[in-house]
Amino acid sequence: MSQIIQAISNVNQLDDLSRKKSIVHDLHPLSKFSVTIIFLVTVISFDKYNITGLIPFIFYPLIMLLAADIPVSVILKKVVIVEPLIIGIGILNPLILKDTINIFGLSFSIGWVIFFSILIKCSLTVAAGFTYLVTTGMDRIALTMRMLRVPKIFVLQIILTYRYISILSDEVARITKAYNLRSINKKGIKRIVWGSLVGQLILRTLNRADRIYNAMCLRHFSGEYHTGYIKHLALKDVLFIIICSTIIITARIFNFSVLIGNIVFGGRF
Amino acid sequence: MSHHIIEAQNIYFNYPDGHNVINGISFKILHGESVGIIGSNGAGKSTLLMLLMGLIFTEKGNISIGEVKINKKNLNIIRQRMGMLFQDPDDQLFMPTVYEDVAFGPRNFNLDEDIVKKRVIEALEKTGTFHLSDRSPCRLSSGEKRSAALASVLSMTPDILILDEPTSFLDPKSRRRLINLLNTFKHTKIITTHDLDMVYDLCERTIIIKDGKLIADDISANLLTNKKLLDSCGLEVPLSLQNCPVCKKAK
Repeated sequence: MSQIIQAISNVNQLDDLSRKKSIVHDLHPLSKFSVTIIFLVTVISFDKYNITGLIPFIFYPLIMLLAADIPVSVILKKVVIVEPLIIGIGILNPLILKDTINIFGLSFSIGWVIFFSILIKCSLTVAAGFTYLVTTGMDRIALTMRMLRVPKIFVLQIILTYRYISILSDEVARITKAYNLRSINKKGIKRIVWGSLVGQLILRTLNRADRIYNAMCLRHFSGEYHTGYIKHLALKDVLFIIICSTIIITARIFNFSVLIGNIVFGGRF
Repeated sequence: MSHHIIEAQNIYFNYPDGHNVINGISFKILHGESVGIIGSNGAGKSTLLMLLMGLIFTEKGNISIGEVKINKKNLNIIRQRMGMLFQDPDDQLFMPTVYEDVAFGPRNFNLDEDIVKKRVIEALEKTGTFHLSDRSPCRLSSGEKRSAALASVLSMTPDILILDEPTSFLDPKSRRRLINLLNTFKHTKIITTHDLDMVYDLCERTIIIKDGKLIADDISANLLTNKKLLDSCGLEVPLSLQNCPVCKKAK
């Protein structure tokens, strides 16, 4: 039960955090969007054997979160949730590829290098995505998408799906609360009632979604999701894009890990 | 004819399972009237409100607001004139903050953001929820949610206010505040409720429905003191009009 309540609170937590006041929250969503895209493309563009080059990229989400006064643990937990999926994707590499490669004078299995490369790349992209979400908010992301001429039906799908998650978790909490209160001294939910609970859940969430849609229609909703006016790009937004993208691209061209290693260990790498 | 007159002419509605919910109801509500629609559970009150708002459509008969008949073509005109407060405020509040929620309707009119802001602040101040502007609706108490939902309706500046069980979830103080607030709304009000004391306080006219049929339509003071009629419709005389249970004398 507490896990479900925790899950609901997590959905709302992202919304709450996105409404904080900070220098990062204050940036234009389009500027953060541009830098996030540059970051993602750069991280993905790395060679599959290049792990060291990826390490400096950890600092982008880290610095953004610290500047936005958002606990790093919030994003770390999200990354940990998708980690099993990433491991599932990459785990075959160490089993299939047995050849070795020389890094920092040490020999490593190519399979493990590729595995860690996938792990770091995916973790970084997920962290950057959540950092953008948590410092911008879903509504402003939708607005940015509309500014970029993404079709309104597509934006609407994303927004409503995001809102549906909270309705779904809300209903799950109600159903399990009702179940637990009438099944004293029993742990979990019996397998035999799983089917009817899921059926109930679908019906209830659909009904609720329908009522919410009615409420939207009564307030003249016509498919366009208005979230208020947005300021034009200011000087600070342009500077943010220029500085961040310069640093990211520089980190792509020069391997800072190796450079720092050479300075610290006297050119052994 | 006033654009606020609501007229239902012999309306019928069945649910897809064949259940007959509204069974030949007719009434006329004039501009500025405050009308309470009462009845036991399943009498068809909420369905009637949904028909009035054009969320569902009659099988037979017509409903018109002023000169405009309620049908799919006229929904925009109808909904510009009418605002509805849902029974469950959770269904009405779906935006990330109370401010955004109250601004949702005016923004859909494509109004200038300054006008939207003015309307939102006005509605929030009227309902006493201005201090909740930046809060997430899901973190509010039931009473606060109800007030925020009402603000979201008032920000649309409707001519006719339709309220479905407005005092449910409210504590006595919040209930009294809501009644006082609704008293300040000078246009037409249609209220469905089980809170007959509120009907007595707020509505000069009452309509009683039972099994989808209109049983009585008269001045509230007449209907709400008619114990026999109320009993036959599964209702009770409002507490404020009941005799003292000990000495049986009138209050």
